[in-house]
Amino acid sequence: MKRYVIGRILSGILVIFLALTAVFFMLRLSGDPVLLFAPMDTSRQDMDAIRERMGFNDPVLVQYGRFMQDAVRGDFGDSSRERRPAMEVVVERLPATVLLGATALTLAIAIGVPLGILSAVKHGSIWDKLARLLSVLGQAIPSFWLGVILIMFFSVRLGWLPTSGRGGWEHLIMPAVTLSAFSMARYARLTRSTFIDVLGQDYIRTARAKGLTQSIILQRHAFKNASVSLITMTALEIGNLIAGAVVVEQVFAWPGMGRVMVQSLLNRDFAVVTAAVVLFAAMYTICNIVADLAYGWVNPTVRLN
Amino acid sequence: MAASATVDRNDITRVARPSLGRRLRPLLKDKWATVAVIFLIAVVLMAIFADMLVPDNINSPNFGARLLPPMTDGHIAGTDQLGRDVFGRLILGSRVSMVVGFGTVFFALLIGIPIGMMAGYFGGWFDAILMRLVDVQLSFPFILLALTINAIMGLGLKNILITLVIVGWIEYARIARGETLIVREREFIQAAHLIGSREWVILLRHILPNITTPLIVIGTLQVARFIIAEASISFLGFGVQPPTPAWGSMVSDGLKFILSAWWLITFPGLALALVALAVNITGDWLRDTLDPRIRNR
Repeated sequence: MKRYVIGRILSGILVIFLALTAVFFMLRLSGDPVLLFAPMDTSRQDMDAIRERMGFNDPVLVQYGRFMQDAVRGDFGDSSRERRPAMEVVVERLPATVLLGATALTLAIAIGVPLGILSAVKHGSIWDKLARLLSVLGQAIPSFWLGVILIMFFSVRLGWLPTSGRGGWEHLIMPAVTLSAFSMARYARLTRSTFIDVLGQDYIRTARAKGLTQSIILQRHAFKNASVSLITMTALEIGNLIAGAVVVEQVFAWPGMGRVMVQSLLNRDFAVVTAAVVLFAAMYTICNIVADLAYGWVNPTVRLN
Repeated sequence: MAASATVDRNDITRVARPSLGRRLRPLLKDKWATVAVIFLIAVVLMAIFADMLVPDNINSPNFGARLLPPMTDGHIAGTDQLGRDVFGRLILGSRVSMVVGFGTVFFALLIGIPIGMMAGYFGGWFDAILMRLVDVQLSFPFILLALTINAIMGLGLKNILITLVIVGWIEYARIARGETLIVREREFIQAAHLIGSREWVILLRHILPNITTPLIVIGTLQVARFIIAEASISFLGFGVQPPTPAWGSMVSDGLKFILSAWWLITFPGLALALVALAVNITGDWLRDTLDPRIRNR
């Protein structure tokens, strides 16, 4: 087990290393790197100065070595707009993204799972049809559009909620609902199919034959076994929520990592982009490792090797 | 990656292929799938013949007819801030979504299948490199990778297609590899070896036909994913640029008029959601009819 975890972390580090390599060469091979790093209105002399200062005149491999050395120390260069370390710019946005993601995940589980159970227990009923319709819709509606429609309805028409930005809990509602919609649909769908499988098992029939009530069967017998796939899914879903935040944060001007990443791409501030990519990849990799471990933990029949 | 349990599929024998008529029968029985398929065919036709359906001057401004609400002066879905007919632009915009959705899957399959098959069949260093690539791809949120590559490559329809193919092919290579690993061990492959078939003949004639079903099903479901990815990227200001209408950028253009013109935002998003819905329903149906064993994948 310990060996597995260490191996998994090492391979995670290797993946981030490869990702950094990919980002480095993509940025360098796409043309004159100065054009990517310098602001739009830089003069020719200034560009030459930047080129010399940032070492773009050195051989590519030398630059790569330097880039990696700095990256290991968490140094991705300075943001060209804010004139301070790029990693600092990204890291200070991390709490906002975590808050948004955690709220969305809670919403998705709190609504998606009961909906899926209801759907499975009342298999074929009007509730089942309604829940399935919601989960199909949730997976088809683009999140940016859902966000905009919510703004149009609840902020512009009704004036109940603020359109954007970060402040009290009322700022969190619409972004969190928007971000959670897709995950909620996936939870409802997975819970439904898992529960239908589980409820058809022999031991459930035995429990019924013993005369246990429906709620005890659901809580003690069905839920425990269905939770295996739900726990695995949750770790992967956190990754999806992080990805979804990139779009949703932009819609609601929520000051998180996703927004800073998109803004930096639009401003061509590639030091910040690189830092954001690395931090996203690290978070994503950690989620994947946790998903693997959780799977082995709740389901001992799966051997981790 | 999750430690996936591989099912021993050697005991699953495939039955003879049913005729087209027998294949269509379950489609007609499932009324949602029927509606979805007909809707998709209509959208594809609309995209192909968009030039004939909308007037030539669809992208030229007409300031006399700015921001007309739906159902006025023959504008079914109203007009935008430049007085252009929204419905006509929606029809034209379907092109971007269709080209990106089906095009990305097509090219990603074209690249992913051979690479995945060779990795699964021959193994060795080629397989090792592919698996590391898969790891890298799995450690990035899809949309993030696409955004970064697109921002570096430059904007426009061609570049967004290339971007999505770069990001998307690995997934198919991974599936093709996994399927090849399973098929490779079956008796008829050993038999082919014994009668002296060449490697490429085995790959093309024996392995390829046996791994296509899951790839087609997952490919279909992915059409919706790529359409939404392109729309999201265009919405964020990358991807397809004006005056070419794309559903994603139409929504972001409409944002400036969120107070006055609801139709600018509502209709393009509705079009996206309907197409994604139809693709998902079609994909689900294909999965259930062609390959029930990948239900929970």
